[in-house]
Amino acid sequence: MFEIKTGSENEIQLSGRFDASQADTAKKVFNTVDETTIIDFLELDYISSMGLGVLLMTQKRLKESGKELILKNMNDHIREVFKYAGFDMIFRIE
Amino acid sequence: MQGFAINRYNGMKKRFALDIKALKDIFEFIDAFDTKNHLNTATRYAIDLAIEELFTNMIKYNQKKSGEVEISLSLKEQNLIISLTDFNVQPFDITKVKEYDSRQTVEERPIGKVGIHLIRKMMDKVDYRYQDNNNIITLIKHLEK
Repeated sequence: MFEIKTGSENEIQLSGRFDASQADTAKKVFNTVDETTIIDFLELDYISSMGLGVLLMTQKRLKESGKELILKNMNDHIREVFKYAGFDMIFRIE
Repeated sequence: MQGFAINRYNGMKKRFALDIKALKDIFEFIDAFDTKNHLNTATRYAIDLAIEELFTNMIKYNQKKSGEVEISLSLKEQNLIISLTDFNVQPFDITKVKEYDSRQTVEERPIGKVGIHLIRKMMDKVDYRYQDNNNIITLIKHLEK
């Protein structure tokens, strides 16, 4: 089960498992992001390369106008995936 | 759990349609193996990710746009062995895929291409062979004692 909640302003909460079958659902939400936005990973258990791709695509677009995604509350396994991919160098992780 | 073939090495194998909708069934199959073998959460994450990346890669590069993939999981001593067989396809040797550059800036990064890199990082061995028109990929992960 994967869920995206757009709670308070400029914050998105992810929960469950962000696997390849969820790419279209995620893209619909991330394509509407046009301000610096905090992505809360607190309830997210899993992410694969498809999820990383959606985040990267959004980051590329936002960076063009000096904005960015800021990621917070990652579990250790997801943090490791970000490190292996070198995504810890291209996202601010709090 | 019903419906999964079990071999004498505590192993399981099953065929799945080459369709992204089968991913849910694949994770359930891994759940059944996990329940039997009590994997730690890091190992479990690595299996889920490696299988998902290979499976989605097979969907992406499958020329027929149909067919099945056989996935097998087994434990032998302290090694977890994962194998995926893609039937009746052209050879695609993932061990020859160019190294991913994880130091590129956000502007330079390609979208995609990172899946095989993650497999290489999270698994201890990646083997490929082409046999009887089938691509067979075997991954090994050493388990901590």
